[in-house]
Amino acid sequence: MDDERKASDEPGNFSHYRRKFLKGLGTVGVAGGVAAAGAGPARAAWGGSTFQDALGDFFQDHYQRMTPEEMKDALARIERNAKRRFGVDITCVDTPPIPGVVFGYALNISKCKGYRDCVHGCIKENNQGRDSQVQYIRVLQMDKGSMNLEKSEHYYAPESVPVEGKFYLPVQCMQCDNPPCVKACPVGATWKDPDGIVVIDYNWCIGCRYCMAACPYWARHFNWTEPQIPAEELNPVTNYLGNRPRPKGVVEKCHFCTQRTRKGRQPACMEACPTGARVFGNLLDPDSEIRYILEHKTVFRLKEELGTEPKFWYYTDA
Amino acid sequence: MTFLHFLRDGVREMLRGGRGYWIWLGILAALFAFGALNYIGQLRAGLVVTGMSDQVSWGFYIANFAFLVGIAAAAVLLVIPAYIFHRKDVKAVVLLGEGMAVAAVIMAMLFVLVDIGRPDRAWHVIPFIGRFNFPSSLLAWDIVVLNGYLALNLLIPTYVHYCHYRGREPNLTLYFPVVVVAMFWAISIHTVTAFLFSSNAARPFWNVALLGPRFIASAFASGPALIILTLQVIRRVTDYPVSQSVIDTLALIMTVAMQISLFFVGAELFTDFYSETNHAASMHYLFLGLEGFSGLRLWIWLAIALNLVAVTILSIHPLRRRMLTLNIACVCGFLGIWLEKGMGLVIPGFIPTPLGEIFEYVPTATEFYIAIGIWAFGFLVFTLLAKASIAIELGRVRASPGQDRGRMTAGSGVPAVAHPE
Amino acid sequence: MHFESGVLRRANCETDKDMGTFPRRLHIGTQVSKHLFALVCALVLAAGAMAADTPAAPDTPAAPAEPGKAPAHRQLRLNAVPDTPPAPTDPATFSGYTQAPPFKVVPQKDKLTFYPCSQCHKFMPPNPQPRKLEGAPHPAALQHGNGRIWCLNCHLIDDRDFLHTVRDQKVDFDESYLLCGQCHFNRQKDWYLGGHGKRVYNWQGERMIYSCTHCHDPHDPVTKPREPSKAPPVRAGLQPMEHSDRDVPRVWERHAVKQPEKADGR
Repeated sequence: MDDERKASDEPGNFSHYRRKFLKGLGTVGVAGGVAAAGAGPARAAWGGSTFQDALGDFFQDHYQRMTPEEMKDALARIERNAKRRFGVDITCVDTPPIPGVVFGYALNISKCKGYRDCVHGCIKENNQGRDSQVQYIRVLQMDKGSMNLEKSEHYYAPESVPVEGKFYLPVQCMQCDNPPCVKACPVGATWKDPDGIVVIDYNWCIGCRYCMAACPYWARHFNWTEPQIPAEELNPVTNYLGNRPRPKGVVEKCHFCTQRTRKGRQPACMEACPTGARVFGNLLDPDSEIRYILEHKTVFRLKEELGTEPKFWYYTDA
Repeated sequence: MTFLHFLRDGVREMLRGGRGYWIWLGILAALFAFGALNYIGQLRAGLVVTGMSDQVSWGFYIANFAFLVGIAAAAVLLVIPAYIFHRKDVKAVVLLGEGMAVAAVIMAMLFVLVDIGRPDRAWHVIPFIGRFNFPSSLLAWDIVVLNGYLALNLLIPTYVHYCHYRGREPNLTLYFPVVVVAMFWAISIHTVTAFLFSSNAARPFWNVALLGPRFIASAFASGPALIILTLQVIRRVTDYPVSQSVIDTLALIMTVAMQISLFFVGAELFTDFYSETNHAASMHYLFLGLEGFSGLRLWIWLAIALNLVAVTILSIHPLRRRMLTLNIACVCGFLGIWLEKGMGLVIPGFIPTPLGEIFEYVPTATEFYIAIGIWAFGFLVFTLLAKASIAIELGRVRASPGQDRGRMTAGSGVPAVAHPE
Repeated sequence: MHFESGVLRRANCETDKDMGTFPRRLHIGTQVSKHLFALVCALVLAAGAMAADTPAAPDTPAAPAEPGKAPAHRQLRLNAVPDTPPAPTDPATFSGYTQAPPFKVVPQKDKLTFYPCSQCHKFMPPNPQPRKLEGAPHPAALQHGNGRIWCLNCHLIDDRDFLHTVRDQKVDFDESYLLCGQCHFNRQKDWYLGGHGKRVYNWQGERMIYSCTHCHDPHDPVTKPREPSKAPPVRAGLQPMEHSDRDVPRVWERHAVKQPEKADGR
């Protein structure tokens, strides 16, 4: 699996030629565009972008093949785009994975009360479209004594939770170690990074939604329309593979808050959970809390029989 | 140079015709334009104008895509009798069959194009310039095989027509290997499309080994239906000779394929309903409804009924021989399989979702209009190709002999196909 | 078909003479086999009867007919009994779990309303009698332990600015978790090692965790139910599905049989 940032499976020179080719096309296009637009100021007519930005977006290469300069240009475009769309100054950086880290997540279903605070914390942190109605986490209300997902309730809205006789199972991207979505993507827009997180290059995805059909956990979501985020709720601290504002027509999903976790902070869902049901950490660290749980508690994973090797476990107090 | 004249003369032939021809083209063009207009609306607003959702993330477009790949693959049912069994009567119409395959593949690819969220990024699939996840992704395989099939079905007829245009026989040793490749390739396009669905362990409704054979069987039942109807239209509207034996052969193939296809459906129903597990929930939703939701139930039973009518007619020799009942069977079979393999395959794969939610899907008007536009475009492509092909095969379009500039010579060339007595 | 003289004949089949000499030899041989068969059956039945009478020799003693006899299961206390009893040791003090990753507890003392408590309690004579506390300015109801404990089991009677353990060790309010672990030791081990409780800010580096009392009011620790956040929406432009009842009867509900009325009307 090609999961290194700069790895390439083509002869060394070819990526160089391709880069020049794309850059050349881009330059010609921009020159033509500038000539066509006349000497006037750049107009924001191309789906909210300027012509130069639209062309830059169009010819942008895959994340794993971009040079640092191309990445800088891409990040600057994203920041300009957000300013145009929402009127908010955001910062967008590229956070590489921390070496020697593979993330794991455990959720204590004895403690989850079904509040859905994680769902809404995630939406705020990750700039999900309120109109396109994307939610990375879905909490299932299950009957106690059964693990039958087919009988779960997604839209529970009782007066108070937890409801008698039910338990709660939040489901989000499991960051599988053997991800079917990565195999399915025809353009390689999604891949497993070295820290175990399955990431998406939102500027490369063509929106075919094959990965959504392939995912056994219903973890991937599509921007059916342009994501609308109220300016005052926009989180301005963003990163490229994480919570930067996404365009319409691309797939997105939980990425364990790469903008936070790759800087040592907790994911937003863990922070939002009042009961401390969520535990996150480095699976490679034998002294971590997540390792303690996986080695000493009754843990299980969803749909383990599919061989996806999820890195999201559920455990109980016993 | 002559080749350019060949192309020019072919295009000229496509633009010649009587009133009926132009009315037909006009209707198709209008429908296509209407579909294109709706598509522009879809580009502007996003796929939110469709009825698809995160729960049912593939809908009417992919349903039509899966069906049309089958129609395209069915051209092989003319190629094999023509070139392997040396059936002269079938050989006369095999180029039309390949033209239909071209139209069907173009339609299939258009349906994928209108379904993706970022068509402006379609260049990302080009190997080396973009990033092509071959051989991992079945969609990548599908892109390869469909484009290859399009190329093969353009190459062979172009070569044969070009030879006829120049008044000579095509070199069989040259293009026969290509024909053999095309035969296997035809099976592969539909097998790969089946694998596209059956490879998803997340979707138990699709994740069955029988899906590949089901696809081939239903393709070989629905493809000949369309070919039979089309050949009759051509026989009536043009003076191209379409002998009855071709239609009889196709009808016989369709009969057996339809019987096998229904047997496969029965096998699936038994396996899912005898010991109903959670994996059978999609089948239950489709045929019986699930928890009060039964949006597709009427359609699938209609499809089964249509297929049963078709197979009954076809299995009774006298009825199969009579054109009226054969045509009824063809229409019923075509519609039945379109329902069963299109919506009846794609949508239940998503209901219930992997997390057990039932969320139904209804195509919106925009999806219908865009789909009609694409079907119209496919008919348009086939009409134009058939027009040029028939003219060349009947000897009405020939390169001017002895000169570099080819001219249209009316009626003086040797027809490649004998007129009916 | 019927069994006649040891030879299976079809009801309407041919007679012996059609079969030649075969049936006669079979006839004689069959008589002997018939007796042998009966003998073998009798032996098997007898053996079975004897086997049923003798109980299998168990590893463990059988259930006692009267109390005072040896129990029917293996005694847990007898697992790995040492040859010599352990030597006396100095009393140890609980000091956490060595394998637990180091942590800091988020302090909470500054959030206590009436702290330092001694500002009032130095004027009040200590009264160790468990009783109803009338007129206390602070909450005085204890819904913890179902009557097993009362205030002074945790609060130090001589210095209300501190708590105390069962072993009478003085414990600061910011270390109140040491008290909880006395009864809830399983949960506390999880808390030390990361399987319970809430870590804040970071997943790596300095480990800041909440004290028990951050989430559990020690005077009423059970978490109360509350309203959940909003249910998920459906895609913009689509209608939600009508809610369908997913209540599946449990196995015992499917077997529910009307119980006959008991004599006393229960």
